[in-house]
Amino acid sequence: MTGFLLRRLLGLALMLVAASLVVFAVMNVLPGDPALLMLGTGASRATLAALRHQMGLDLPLWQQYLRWAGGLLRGDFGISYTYQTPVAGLILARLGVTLPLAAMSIGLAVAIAIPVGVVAATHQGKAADAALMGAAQLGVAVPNFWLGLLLILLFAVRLGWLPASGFPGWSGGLGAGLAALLMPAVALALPQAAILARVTRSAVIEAAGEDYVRTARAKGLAARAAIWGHALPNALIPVVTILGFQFSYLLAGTVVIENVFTLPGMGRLLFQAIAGRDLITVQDIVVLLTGSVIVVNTLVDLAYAAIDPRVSLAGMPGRDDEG
Amino acid sequence: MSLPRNLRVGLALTVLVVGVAVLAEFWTPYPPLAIDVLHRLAPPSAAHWLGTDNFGRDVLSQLMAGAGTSLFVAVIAVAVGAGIGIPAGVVAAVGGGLVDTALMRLADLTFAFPALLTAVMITALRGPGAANAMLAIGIFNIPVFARLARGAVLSLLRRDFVLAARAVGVPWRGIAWRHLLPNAAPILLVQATIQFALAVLADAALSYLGLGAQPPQPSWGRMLAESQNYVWTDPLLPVLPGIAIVVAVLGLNLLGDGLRDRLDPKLRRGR
Repeated sequence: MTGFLLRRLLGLALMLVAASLVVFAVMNVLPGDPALLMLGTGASRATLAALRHQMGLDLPLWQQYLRWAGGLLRGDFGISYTYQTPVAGLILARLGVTLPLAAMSIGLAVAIAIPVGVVAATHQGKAADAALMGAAQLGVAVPNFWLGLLLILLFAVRLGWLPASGFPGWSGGLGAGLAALLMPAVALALPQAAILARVTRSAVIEAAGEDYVRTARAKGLAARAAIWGHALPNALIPVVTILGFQFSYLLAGTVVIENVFTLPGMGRLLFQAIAGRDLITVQDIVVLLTGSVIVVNTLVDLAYAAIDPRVSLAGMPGRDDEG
Repeated sequence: MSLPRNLRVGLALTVLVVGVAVLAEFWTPYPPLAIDVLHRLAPPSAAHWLGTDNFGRDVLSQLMAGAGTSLFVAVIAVAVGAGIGIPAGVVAAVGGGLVDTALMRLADLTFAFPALLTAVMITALRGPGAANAMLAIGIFNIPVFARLARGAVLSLLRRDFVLAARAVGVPWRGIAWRHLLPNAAPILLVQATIQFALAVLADAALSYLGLGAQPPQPSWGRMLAESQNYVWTDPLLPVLPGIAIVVAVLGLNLLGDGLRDRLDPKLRRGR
């Protein structure tokens, strides 16, 4: 297990370095002069040269990369060109919106998907199954930003229950903050829940046919208890895997949703950075989001191994049989 | 044998969307971009079946023209993903060892870049446009096809007909074209349908953010973005483009699911 852990952590470090290299390469090696992009074609030679020097663009590329990557490790993300303040501070301020939003939508998605998936599985082939899976099929096809617009139409425009957009800040009280994040979180959660519910359903159906569930039933355990107590925990392995995959979609989703609801989160910062040609901010946010996708997927792998010891043994000599 | 219901509905919706996209190339009720300020934000009527937008443009005509934009971006994106991913997957499976490991780690790395982030980077450097959307979604599709093709080919490599072909000295290129790809084609086709649906969704999100097709090219995502200013006065405006997106994505998803059910013998036995 320790060897497996070390291998995974080494792999994680290599992936993070590789991802940062890719981001750096895309942003710096492809044709296009960041200084020229920022200042526009009307800038004088001297101004351009001064900005290039300030940004370190006159250094060799490998030194630029080391400067940037080394800074990232120390928490120094560079200076935003638009705001003229450290990017790290800008990002940190926005995490207070993006992290709660992401957490709320994951929580909601799981809270909806697991019961729906289990009910559909236990009613396989019946009307409840058909209705729930029909709804899930529709949910997968609905773009989250459109769902957000529909929620605004219903709960802000029609009913006036929730604010249509904006974020009052956590200083205005927990209730107001949560109210502002509720619709965005639901818009993000429902399409994810639809996918998760389908995975949960098929995983529970598969697990319900296993020997240990039959044994539990034979020993007199009620069907409901056998499903929730024995089939579901085993079905959670594929569900957690899919949840890990969904994380990257979720991050992309927050970028879009924050723009639908004009929430001052990381996605909105990223978007404004593009509009303002604030390349260092774009580069930092992209590497941060990509890095978190890689970290989460490694955590899912590790969780997988913790749940099922066969995973870490797979690939070892003489142990690759079905066990 | 009659087709299962999801395949039937999926096929019908997909044919509808493709049909509309083709039709819009030749005919729309009004030119999609024709501005008519006297009739701006008009409700649905006999003249404008779905009303007009804030420039007085006919909504139905724009929706019809948007279908073509969306499908074109998705087709190119899936073609890029499959065109690079499938050969890479086959090479990884056949090559094995270091080649396999290197290609699959590369796939893992590519997978960490959601289409949206790639599009953001490209746009930050080159400015927005439909080509960027195609490229970004296409890049994200590469590892999906590479992994699937690798898995399919690995299982085929142990089959007798491949072993026999190798034994009589057929070169790898011939084996790949004659034996591996045709046998892996059905599962790849199913995945392509699903990726196609995801590409339509991704393109809608990118053009909603202004990172996809640029004006004057009609696009469902941008229609949604523009309609957002009118949620208080014209609630129909933001609803319609979304329905178009859902119909297209739902149709493709049902088609993919239906095809998979037919191809997967395990599921067929269960019926």
